[in-house]
Amino acid sequence: MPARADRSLSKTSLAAATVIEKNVTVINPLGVHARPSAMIVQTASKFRAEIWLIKDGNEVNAKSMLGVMTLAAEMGSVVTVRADGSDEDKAVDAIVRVFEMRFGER
Amino acid sequence: MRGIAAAPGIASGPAFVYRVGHEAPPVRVLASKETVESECVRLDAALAAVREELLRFKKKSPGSVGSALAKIFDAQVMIVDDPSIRAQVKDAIGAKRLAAESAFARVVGDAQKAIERSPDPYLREMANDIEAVKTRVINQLMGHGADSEHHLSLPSIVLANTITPADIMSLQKGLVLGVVTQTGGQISHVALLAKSLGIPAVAGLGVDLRTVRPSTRLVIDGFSGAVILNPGSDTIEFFERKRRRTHSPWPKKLEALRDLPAVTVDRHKVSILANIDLAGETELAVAAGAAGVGLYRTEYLFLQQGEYPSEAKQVEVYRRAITTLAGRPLVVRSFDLGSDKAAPNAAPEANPALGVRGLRLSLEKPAILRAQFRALLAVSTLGPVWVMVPMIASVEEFEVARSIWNQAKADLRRKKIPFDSKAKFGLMIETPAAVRMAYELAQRADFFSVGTNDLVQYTTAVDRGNQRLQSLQHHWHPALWRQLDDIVKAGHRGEIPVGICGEMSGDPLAVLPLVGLGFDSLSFHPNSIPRIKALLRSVSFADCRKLAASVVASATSGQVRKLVKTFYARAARKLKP
Repeated sequence: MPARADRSLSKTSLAAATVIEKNVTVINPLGVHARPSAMIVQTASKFRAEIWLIKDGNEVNAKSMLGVMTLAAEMGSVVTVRADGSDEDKAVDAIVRVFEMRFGER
Repeated sequence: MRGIAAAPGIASGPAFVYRVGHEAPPVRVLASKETVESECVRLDAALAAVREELLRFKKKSPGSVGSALAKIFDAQVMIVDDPSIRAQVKDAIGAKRLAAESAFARVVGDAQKAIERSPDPYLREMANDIEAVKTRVINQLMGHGADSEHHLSLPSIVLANTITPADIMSLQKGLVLGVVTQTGGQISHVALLAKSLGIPAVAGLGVDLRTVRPSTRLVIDGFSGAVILNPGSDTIEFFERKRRRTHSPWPKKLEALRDLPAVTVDRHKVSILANIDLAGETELAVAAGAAGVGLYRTEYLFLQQGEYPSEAKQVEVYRRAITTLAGRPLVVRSFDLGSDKAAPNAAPEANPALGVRGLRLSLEKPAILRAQFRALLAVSTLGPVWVMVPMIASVEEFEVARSIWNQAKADLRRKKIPFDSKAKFGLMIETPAAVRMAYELAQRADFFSVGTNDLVQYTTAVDRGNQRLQSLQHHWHPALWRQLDDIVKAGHRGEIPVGICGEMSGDPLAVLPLVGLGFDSLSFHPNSIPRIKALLRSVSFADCRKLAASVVASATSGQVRKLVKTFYARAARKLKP
């Protein structure tokens, strides 16, 4: 999976040395299936920061559809959203909000 | 052979064996004259072509299937567009001089395997979307032209071990007469698509369909799940007659029956109800002369949306159904989802039929059940709404379900939303345990509905999908008839109505002994209603009772079959075709 390679790239870039992280719980009953994965990717892709989702030690690139699907985060699981870049705060907040709004599902 | 009836209808024709895309491409490295650049260009072109293909399918999706299919295609397009995949594949091409198809298969295959390991069956289904994209991209790269392998030249019945809605839509429209799959359950995206296309589908046949020789003639019955290879002329004629009966508009004589009651010659009344999957089918039920809906399978709502429908959406759908029925009862089964129904092609639980399905799944996510109950109660002021829960195996399970029903009522009272406090709450009897506890359950429930499809499986320990047990997959086991007899007796002792809604209630041979046992209602596919009503009106309840008694007293299925066929032959003679 791409995440490790991307991280090393950003460490050698001129991006700020800070990294923002927030934990979020999956609350929609069906979990992060294809449609929520698409929502996450669409949201993440708007930001310049590198963004990762981490669950149970697995790290995936939040801008990669395949990556986010691989997380297969079921209801109740806790996901860490981590971002590194000029708009990292906005990025993390936007993604956390997408989770909190249950990806538009009931 | 018998599979699971997934979409109604009868079709006969030559087999067309649909092979899922490709064999895994052998790992190929670039020849010396192939450059990494040109290979990357090839990759980009293939991805662009697949993207266009998927968007075309999305546009072609029948509107009635709802937004679920569109969402599936959208998700697949996002996989095609995934910049990370593109980057990794190009890295692999550059670093190892791998051919694009090999690199793509590897990168995407790893992700697929990771997803297949997820314990959640609904999430595992995402592996299918990845497989669909992988297959198409690799086909493009290997020059298997998009549809060249899958080009129908004459009307055929499509056989596949597994197939996706996109695959069906990539075939020539109008030439697909029906679909048969090895895997899959009753409720799936493929079933939904088949229904909206008006073609029969049989799923879960359990046989490796790739072994069927191309162009083998076959007949499929989407009402019963029967699939017959190389049918003899008698069989062909039988099914042709059935097809005409069930597909064509009611012959004039049967149309006259529509408003006549379903009563026997000695004035015994039976309610003939319809099984429906979509709210829109209530119109069909009414047109067929049904006295109401005896089974509304709400899982399709879930499939159409691609997610559990919101409470507001459910209210809208249920309101439409109850209003169309104009005073006739609507019996609704709460969401009956489980590993085999939500994710037909995903790796199942070790034993999904005995696993977390039906009410057990609902009880893991009670908020969903409670919301569904609220939505149903909200429309109960518009007509008689009866709600039943599936897969009950104990009194305790039913009590838990009922407490959620009561909570839903309390929720509505708090919100000052009116509902019919007398709305009936009952259950499906489909486990042997429920049969044994029927008396106690009758004290607590407002009605029973027997789900014979599952009951016969559990009682005779026969897996419907197991091809080696073909000869046991029928409903003539005396054990089943004795259970039915017990259920009716227990229900009536508890003074509640007892109905039956499994596949067998639409079988003309089974109808007469079922009536004889005292079932208050039978529910089955609307297309079969006029015929069964005509049959009922030509027999006497007294005779049906005698028949039922001898069926229950039988020792073997052979005896049951003989009794039933003899009686039916006599009754049918009195009927004009």
